[in-house]
Amino acid sequence: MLINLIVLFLILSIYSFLYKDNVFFKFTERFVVGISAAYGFIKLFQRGFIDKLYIPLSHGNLAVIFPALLGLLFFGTLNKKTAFLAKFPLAFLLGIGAGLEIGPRIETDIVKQIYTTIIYSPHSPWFTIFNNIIIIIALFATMYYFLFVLRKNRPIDRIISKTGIFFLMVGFGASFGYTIMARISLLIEVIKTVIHFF
Amino acid sequence: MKEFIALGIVLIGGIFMAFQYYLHIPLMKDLYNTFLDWGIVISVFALFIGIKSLLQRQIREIKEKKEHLIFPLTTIISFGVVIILWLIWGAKKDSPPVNFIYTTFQVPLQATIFSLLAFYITSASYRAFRAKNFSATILLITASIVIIGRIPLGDYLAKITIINVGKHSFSLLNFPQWVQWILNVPNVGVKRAFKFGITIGIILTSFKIIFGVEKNWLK
Repeated sequence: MLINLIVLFLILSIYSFLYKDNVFFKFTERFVVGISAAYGFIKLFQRGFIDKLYIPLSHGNLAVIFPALLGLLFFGTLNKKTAFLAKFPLAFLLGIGAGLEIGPRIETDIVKQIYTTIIYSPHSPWFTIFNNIIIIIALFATMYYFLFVLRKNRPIDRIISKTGIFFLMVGFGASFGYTIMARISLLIEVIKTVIHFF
Repeated sequence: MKEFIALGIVLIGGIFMAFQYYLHIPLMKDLYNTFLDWGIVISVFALFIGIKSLLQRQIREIKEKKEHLIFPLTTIISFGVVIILWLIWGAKKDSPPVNFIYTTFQVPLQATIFSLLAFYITSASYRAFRAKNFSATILLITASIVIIGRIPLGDYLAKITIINVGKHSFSLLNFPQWVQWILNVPNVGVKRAFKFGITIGIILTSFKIIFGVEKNWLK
């Protein structure tokens, strides 16, 4: 019961921000930062340090010493003279991160997206074909609207751009409505939590 | 020289990770998994630096006495208590006190912080939802349809406006179906256009990093 009252107090402290910034909100904000940082640290420590370093080392896999040594170079930032050492582990993370993005991104976000946009069965029902045509028009009109390297003086350019704006507004409206509903759902969940306390 | 070595690591790591996706060689797949694991190990050390910065900032605030001492102390104490409880309970993967703190405090409080946006969005809607011109009207109509279609009122309106034409029956105000159509058809086209742009940007940035054109991270 006491814990419920504490959580209720903290929830109300957060909502007090709607009136104006105040000490109760700041206190709760710092509290959330503290516990979130600790939780994130514990989870990554378990996943990275214990699972990927300590356990392999205890099984005799000495290769994991290399990333551990590379990671230790991050502590070079503690001194200005050795700060450059932190660039080496950073380079490793950046290199593999950048390389990882290329292949899967090209396949899933470009090739597969083009494939699903233009390929459809001729035996599909008429409304599927109609929907596909709408998707193609929305896609090209939106992309054309953002193509700023072209001079768009012809009437056809203006028509395509206007169509692009139309579909953009539909997309933004849908996203906006969807976001509102998601946040309201969260609010309802919080209210339910508070009601559950009593 | 230091810069050269760092750029060399990025180049080798980047090219290897990009190529291994297309070359189905078992050795390369093993190396790929090893590199991924190494990346996680290295990021743990970066996390130590992050935590050090967080605590250092709180300590600096206490020393400079900028605000109430209670604020930086709250962060330090809440962080320390969670870590100490985790250590006392044997630093296990599923530590009961850590899970308790997570479910009792972190989940509802984070949900509350995110739900604050509901009020601001409502306030923004009041200002933005005005049919000033054609584009704004389209935005207003679409958002309204999505909102109504996602609440019980949408289902109710769909139910009470069912009419029968011959053997077929359909609803005049079928908001839930309209929402599905908006989200699955025009919205998909727009999202796909954005996705193309974002992906091309990400790929080009990746190439710039791998080939050392983008070097801001070295400064």
